[in-house]
Amino acid sequence: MPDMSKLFSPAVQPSRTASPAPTGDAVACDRCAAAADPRRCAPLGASLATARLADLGKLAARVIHDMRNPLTVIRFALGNLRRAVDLSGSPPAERAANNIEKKVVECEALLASLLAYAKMRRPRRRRFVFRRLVDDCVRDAHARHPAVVFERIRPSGPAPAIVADRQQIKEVVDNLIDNACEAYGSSPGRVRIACRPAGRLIVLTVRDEGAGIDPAIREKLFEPFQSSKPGGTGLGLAICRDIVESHAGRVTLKSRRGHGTTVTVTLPFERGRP
Amino acid sequence: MNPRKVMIVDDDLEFLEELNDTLVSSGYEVVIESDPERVAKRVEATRPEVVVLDLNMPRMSGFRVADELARTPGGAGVKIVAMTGHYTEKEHFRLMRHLGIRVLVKPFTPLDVIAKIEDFA
Repeated sequence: MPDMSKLFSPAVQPSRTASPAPTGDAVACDRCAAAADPRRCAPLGASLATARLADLGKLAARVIHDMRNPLTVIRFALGNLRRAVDLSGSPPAERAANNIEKKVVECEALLASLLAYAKMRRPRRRRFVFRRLVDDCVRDAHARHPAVVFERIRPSGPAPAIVADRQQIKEVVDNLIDNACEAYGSSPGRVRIACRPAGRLIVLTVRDEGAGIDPAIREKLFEPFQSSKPGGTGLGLAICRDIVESHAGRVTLKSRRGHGTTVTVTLPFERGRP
Repeated sequence: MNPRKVMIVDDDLEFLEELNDTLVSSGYEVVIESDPERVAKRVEATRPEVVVLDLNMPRMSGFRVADELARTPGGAGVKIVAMTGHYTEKEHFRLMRHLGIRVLVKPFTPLDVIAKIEDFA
């Protein structure tokens, strides 16, 4: 048996992959660290900010892992408590136990989102037909959102292939479709999904006719921890933006109160530089 | 035949207590150990069929414990269920599968633990 302790050294611990540090003056910027977005500090020179963000990502991943241990203990302790004491005779006790369990599940979901954001890996690019991926996403979304009608808009002509990380791009499309569906709450609604080639780019739009997004938070929606949904982690669109930009693409959002929201993703067919 | 005797190894004492209660109530005979350096001796003395092992422990990682067990006469045949939140890269899973180690990725539920132990039946 090989010496496993060496094979699993901290050097192979997963961590957030930072963008290559740009050259230029390195100036520390508190605003950047607070916003967790080195791009906002580009005029000041972002190399130190990028390195600092990478450190913060590693630290966050470590804290997230460590937070899972007490949550696991709480979950097991609750199960043991339920076995030891019949809570069904006491509605307040039963409710309290249910609430503890519900909050543990919420915390675990939040940690999973945080970890996904902190550990964003470099894209593993392969060639695939973008339209087929969108079809897969729409099919999966039917099961998650049975009250929503999906309208697929396909241009005529051959379906082009793109070179990208299929898993990451699927995460983006799934996330955008989920957001569009959630704009209707539990009411029925319609989501339009279109993809079309435009020169050397492929353009995906996901549109809902929900309530639209408050202009006050619209500008910040792609920043981490900004959400327009109750209970949202505020990481979904931040992850989408990071994935799309790591593929040299762009994601934009237009929204009007009472008229709905349209999110547009533009990706190059071939590998581009972010 | 389903495994009936299980050793839990974790430096988190509260987790040891709760997992112990969970497995005992499911009918297992359970041995608990919080000191990774004592695992090989305890395994020789108590002869569990399965060791549920935390990989991330101070002083001695679960990988070193598994390595030591494989070199111990009484530990070579013991099945291992590794609990981890850290080692989740494809390469980690591939190697652990190659070594016959079953993996429980955090977060997991009591049923997940029992299912992994029963996998060895």
